[in-house]
Amino acid sequence: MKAFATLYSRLDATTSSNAKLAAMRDYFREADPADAAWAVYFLSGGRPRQLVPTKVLRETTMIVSALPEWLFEESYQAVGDMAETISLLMPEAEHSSDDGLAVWMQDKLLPLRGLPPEELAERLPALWAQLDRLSLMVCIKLITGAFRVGVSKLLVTRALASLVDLDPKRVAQRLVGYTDLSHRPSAEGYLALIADESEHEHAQRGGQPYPFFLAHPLQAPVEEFDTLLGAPENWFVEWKWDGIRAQLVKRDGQIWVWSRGEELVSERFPELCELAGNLPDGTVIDGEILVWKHAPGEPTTNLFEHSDSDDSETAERFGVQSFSLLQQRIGRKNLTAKVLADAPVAVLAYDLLEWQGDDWRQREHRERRQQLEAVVGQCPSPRLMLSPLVSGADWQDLARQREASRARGVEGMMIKARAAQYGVGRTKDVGVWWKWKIDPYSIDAVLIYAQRGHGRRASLYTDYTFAVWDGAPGDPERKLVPFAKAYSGLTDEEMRKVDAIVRKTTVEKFGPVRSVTPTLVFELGFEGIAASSRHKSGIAVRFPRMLRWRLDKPVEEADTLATLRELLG
Amino acid sequence: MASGDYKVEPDGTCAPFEPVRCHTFITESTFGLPIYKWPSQAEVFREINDWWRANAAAGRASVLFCYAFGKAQRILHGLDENIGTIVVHGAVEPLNKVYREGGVYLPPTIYAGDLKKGDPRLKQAIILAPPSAGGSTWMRRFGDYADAFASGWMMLRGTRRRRGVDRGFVLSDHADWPGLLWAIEQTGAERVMVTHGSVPILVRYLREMRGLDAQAFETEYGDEDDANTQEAE
Repeated sequence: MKAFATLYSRLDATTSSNAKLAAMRDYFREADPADAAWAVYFLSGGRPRQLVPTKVLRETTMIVSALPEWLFEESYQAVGDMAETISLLMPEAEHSSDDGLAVWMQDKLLPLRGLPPEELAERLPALWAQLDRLSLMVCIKLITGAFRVGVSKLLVTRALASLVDLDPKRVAQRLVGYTDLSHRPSAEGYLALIADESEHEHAQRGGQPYPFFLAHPLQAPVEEFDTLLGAPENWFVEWKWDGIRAQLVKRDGQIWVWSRGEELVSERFPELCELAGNLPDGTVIDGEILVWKHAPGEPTTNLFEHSDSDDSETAERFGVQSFSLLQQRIGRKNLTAKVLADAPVAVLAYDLLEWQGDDWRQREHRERRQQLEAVVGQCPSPRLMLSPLVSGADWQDLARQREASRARGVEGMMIKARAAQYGVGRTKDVGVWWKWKIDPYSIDAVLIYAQRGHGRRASLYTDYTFAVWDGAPGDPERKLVPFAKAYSGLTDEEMRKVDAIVRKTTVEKFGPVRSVTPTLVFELGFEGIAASSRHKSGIAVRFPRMLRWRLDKPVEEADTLATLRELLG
Repeated sequence: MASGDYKVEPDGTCAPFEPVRCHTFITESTFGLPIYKWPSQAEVFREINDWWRANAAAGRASVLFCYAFGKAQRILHGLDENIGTIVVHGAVEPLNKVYREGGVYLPPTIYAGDLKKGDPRLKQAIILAPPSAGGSTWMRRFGDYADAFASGWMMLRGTRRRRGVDRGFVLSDHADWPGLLWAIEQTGAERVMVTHGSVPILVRYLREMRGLDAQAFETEYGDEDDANTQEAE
C-alpha cells in the first residue's frame, strides 16, 4: 500500500506528463504483478462500488478521534476531501503495514462490502491503524471509489508500453474492458497486458471491443480552415450527435454493446441486442446511441424530421430526441415496456472497425466508410442507421449549415480525414478527427449562494448557485430564482477575488452554504437545457460552467427566467 | 495574559514558549482545527535536507519559499550545511545579521545578489526566498530548479496544489491544534479570549468540550472570519 500511496503522491504533485510517466515506470518496475494489476485498474479509471458507506467512515473517525460531529464537519469543509479529512483527524499510526495493494484490496478491503455497521465500526479502526497518513488517505479513496489522480488511460498505456518496449496501441487494445466492473484484476491479467506480442493476438475473441478513436477540438475561425485543413474534399463532414458513443460488436452469434467508458452496456439496450440477427459475425461498428422516434411508415428516410414539425408542443416529434431523455432511460433500473416505448434507441453508425473478422482499422477511412454504407444498407432494422455526410461547396458553406445545429438536435460537426486510419484514443499520428462544436448556450446569471470547494479549491468559496430574475426589469416584485450550480471556469486569481467578496457580502450561513447579497454577475455556459419538474425554476441545464465574470453588468441587468425558457425551443 | 502569535515547540532561534498561570488568557487561533497537527520539527528538517540532497545530486538548485523573518532563520538553523551552498534572498539577509548579532547560530549564507548567473555553486545550492519572489524574474538566475514552500498551510493537499510548487513542508510558527489546547490548559485560565483565525470553532470547542468561559476577542485588524486567508503566516 505504501508504494502505491507514494506513486499517488508523486502523480498528484506534478502536472508534467514526463514526470508522471517516470513515476509510473518506477512503480511498475518494482511492483509485484498482483499489486501492479490493481494499480493499472485504479489508474486507468476502474472504480469498485463503494465498499463502506460514507456515514460509517465519518462515525468511525469521530469515535476514534473523540471529536463532536460539528467539528468533523468544520474540518471537512476546510479540507474539502473526505478521505483526506479522515486521514488528518485519525491519530497517526505507529507501525505501517508492509502488505501490498493486492493484499489490501482482496483480503482487507473487498471483504468489508455488505458488512453490518457494527461489524465495520469494529474492523475499520484496526485496519486504519496499520497505515501511515498518506496510505490511509489513499486507502479511503479506494474504499469510497473516489480515487482520481490526473492520469489518462493513454498515459498509463504509454508507461506500460515503454516498460516492456511494446507498441502503446497494442497495450491499449489489451487494456480494453480492463476496468469493467465484472473484471477482477489479477497477476496473470497484468502479465498478459505486458507480454510479448503473439501471432494469434490479432484475431479478436469474444465480445472484446477496440479502443475508441477520439476527436480533437477545433477552435480556429472558419477563415483559417483552408490553411489548416485544406479543401473540404479531403474530409468527411458529419453532424456531431449528442448521445452515447458506443461500439456494437457482433461475433459468435451475439451482440455486445460497449460505451466509450469501456463499460459493457448490452443489458441496458435490449433493442440493440436484437440486431444480432441482422449483422454477420465478425462485424464491429462504431457509432452513437440516441433516443430515436421513427415516424410511422417511413423509418429512415428523413433523419431530421422533427425540425420541420414545429406545429405544436404536443405533437409527437420524430427523429433524434434530447440527451436528457436518454439520460433518464440510462438511470432506470427496470427497463419496462413503457420505458422502451417512450425512449426507444437507435445507433447512428460512424465507422466500421472489423469486417468478416478482419481488423479494418489500418485501412483508410474512405474504404471503411464505403463498406460501412454497404453493411448498414443490408441491415433491415431501423435501429441501425448511417450517420449522414454533410456536403458543402466550401468551409463557409459548411459553417452556414452548422448554424442550424441546435434546431437539428446536434452539437455541431465532426470533421474526419478521409485518409485517416482509425487511431487509438485522442491521437493524431495515423490521421485526425476534429470536433467542431457550436458555442454553448449562455446566460447572464447572479451568484446567490456559495459553498467551499473541493480538492485544489478547498477552503475557498468556489462552488456557486446561480439565479435569474422571475420578472422583467422594473418589476418591483421580481425575485431571483436559482437554476444552476457551477464551479468551473474561473482562474485562480478570480477565484480568490470572488472568495473575498463572498465572505464580505455574506447574509446568512446554513451549514457549509452562505447566502450573499447579490452583487456578482457571471456569464454561464451550458450544453443542453430541458424542462424539469424537480427544479424550482422548472428548468435543468447540462454541464453549466462560468464563461466569464461580467464585471460590467449590474445585477439588475442579469437575464430572466423568460429568456431561459426561450432557449427551451 | 495576552499572547501574540505563538508555537509551543522550541526551535533554537528564539525564546521558547513558557506557560504562565493566569485567570484570563488571550490566544490566537490561526490553525484552530483538529486537522492541523504538526509533524516533529526534526522530521521536517530531515525531509527538507533529503529534498535538498536529492536535488543537489541531480545538479539542480533547490528554492525554498518561506517568510523572511523568523521562518527563514529557523530553517537555516536546521539545514545540513554539508550538502551545499546556502543562498538567501535580499529580504532574508539583513534579518540574518540581526540574529547572528543576537548570538543565534546560523550557518554561513551567501546573498543571492553576490552570485553570477551560471555560478557552479548554484547547482548544489539551496535558496531561501520570500513567497513574493516566486514567479518573478529574480528566479531566472537559478536555471533549472525545484521549488518548495514551508508553511503550516502545506498540511492540506488543496493548498499545496494551489501554491503550484513541487513540494510543501509543514513548518509553522503558529501552534497547531494540540498546541493551542495544551497552551490554554497550561495557563489554567478559566476565561479564554480567542482571536485571529478559527475563532468561532475554538470558542465553541472550549465551551462545550472543556467547560471554559471562552469568547471571541474583537481586534481592530486582521480577518476575524473563519477564513484561512493564508497570507497570515
